[in-house]
Amino acid sequence: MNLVDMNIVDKRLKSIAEEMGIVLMKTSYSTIFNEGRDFTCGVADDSCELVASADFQPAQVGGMPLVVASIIKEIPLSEMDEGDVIIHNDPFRGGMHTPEHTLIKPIFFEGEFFGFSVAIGHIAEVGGMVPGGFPGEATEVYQEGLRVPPVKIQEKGKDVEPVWKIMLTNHRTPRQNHGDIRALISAVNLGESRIIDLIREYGPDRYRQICNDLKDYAERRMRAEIISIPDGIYSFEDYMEDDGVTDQAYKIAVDLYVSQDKIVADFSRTDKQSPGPINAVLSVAWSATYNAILHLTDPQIPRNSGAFRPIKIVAPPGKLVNADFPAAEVGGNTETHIRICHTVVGALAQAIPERAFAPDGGTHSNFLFGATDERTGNYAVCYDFTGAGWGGRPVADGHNATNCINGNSRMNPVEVFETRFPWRFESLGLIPGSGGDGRYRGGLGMNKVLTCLSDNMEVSFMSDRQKIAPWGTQGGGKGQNGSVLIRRKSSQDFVTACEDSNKTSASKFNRIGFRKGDQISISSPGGGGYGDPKDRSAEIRARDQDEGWV
Amino acid sequence: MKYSANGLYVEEYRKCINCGELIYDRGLFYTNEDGSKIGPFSSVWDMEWYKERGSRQNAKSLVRIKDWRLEEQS
Repeated sequence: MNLVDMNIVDKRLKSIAEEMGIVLMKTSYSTIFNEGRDFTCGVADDSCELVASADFQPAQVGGMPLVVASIIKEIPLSEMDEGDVIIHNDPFRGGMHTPEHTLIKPIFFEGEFFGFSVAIGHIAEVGGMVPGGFPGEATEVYQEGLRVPPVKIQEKGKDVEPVWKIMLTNHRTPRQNHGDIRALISAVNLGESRIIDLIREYGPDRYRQICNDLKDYAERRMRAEIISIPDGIYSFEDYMEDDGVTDQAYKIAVDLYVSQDKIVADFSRTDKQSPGPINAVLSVAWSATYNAILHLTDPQIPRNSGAFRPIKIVAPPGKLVNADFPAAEVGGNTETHIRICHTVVGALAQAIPERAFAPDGGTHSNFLFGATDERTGNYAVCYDFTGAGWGGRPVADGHNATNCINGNSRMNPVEVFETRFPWRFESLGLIPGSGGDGRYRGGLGMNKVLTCLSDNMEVSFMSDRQKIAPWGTQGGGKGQNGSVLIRRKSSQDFVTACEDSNKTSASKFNRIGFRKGDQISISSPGGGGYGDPKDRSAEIRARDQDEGWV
Repeated sequence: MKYSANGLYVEEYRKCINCGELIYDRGLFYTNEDGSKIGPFSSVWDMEWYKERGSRQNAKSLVRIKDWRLEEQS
């Protein structure tokens, strides 16, 4: 192993993955890509293992190895040619959730196979029972949009038109989706081209060797980190407060077996899958567990398949963390991922409190809507989210109004949002006092109030943490719950979706009609606090008061 | 995973009953004392982890975890 070459190639591969993401962002049509950056890009080697990934969406990084492996099971390498691009979003065949589309392009150099460039992106509108792809009351995957098994969308560099036609016929925003899928293809094309340059520069044998070295190096680094965690069995439980269909909470339980340089994360005690759409599929359980452990270990460990080798995940079928077909699952990758991740963090906090942190607000407050925009005559669909408070950390307060642990996304700027969609912002701001108290307090959630400017608006919602608050750790206090409230033009009062439209859940619901002048108020939760509140100094508390944080 | 004979659709989403991974072949099974077949499993490690659930829950201290990678490599 040549450490110098290996480090240079590691940074080059990561840089390629980042450049792929920038191309994707700059060439896409939807705000979820070009503002939200709800995508990630990576590179797999000739053993189809991940060798590099960019730090865009943590929710997608840990799921990438499984989704690539599942594609190869269905389309063997012997059936792949130069110029092919494969698309796949089926959550029950290795994908993450219905909107998450994975595109992979095989990389050939002088006729030999060297791996894949990979781009995963959240296509905001995929058909199904609501505009925006998050039906909060879905009871089966068929209602959540079009599933696409691994198929070639380009063959030897040319479009496979029937695939495009079937997909775009089933989406409400075909023009936007066409642009977004082209952007994903541009990303994998760029990745292919840059990797070929790298292979040419280092030579095929050396490139292969360095990829293997990189994975082995990441594995060794991760094993060294795990050895520093005291051996033991660490258990923790948390809940999704309801599933949009039944008014009951669903438990996520993990038993973490730490032994020498290995971790088994056993989710066998987790509740059975739910009727509603909060179920996670296996790639989400993998990704959320890896995400938690990556947050608690050295950030310099390369994010590749080698780092995941010492971690075994036991997620029995039929559980909330590995739902069986044809369960509704769209909330699993956005909402339940967060809860799985913080359950693992909560378990490890008992072993390594000096590294653990309190949970964030635990929901993206996924706000979905579709309407004809009278200004343009076009039908517009949007997937929008609201930053929540991050949990207090061993060294600092939690960040305010930030995308939760499985996302690294930006919120839509007000100006972009108002230009592209028929809503007007009335207010947008932090919620003082919403972070949990503690030596280091939780970050603040935020509130936004919007007025509808369309007479045919349909709103759906997928969130959580309106009943069960984000917990504190090491003696810290709870964060404040979030809310979603509706005020009709004719009314003075904001009310929940249960009161307005007789919905089962105030946090997960389908297509509520809005008319011009109706308003929605979205409040995200605060983060949990870290450490005993008594240890927060009087001086810092006075500063909190003066600056309006509490 | 059990595909239709023509390969066009999935007839059964077959998963390891321990770790939940999709199984693309028949999978591994073991026979219980009462003669019933238990499975499918995706690896010997999964089979052993599943069998030892009870004893693990009653254990006073952590039993050394066998490395699942050794099996994969062999």
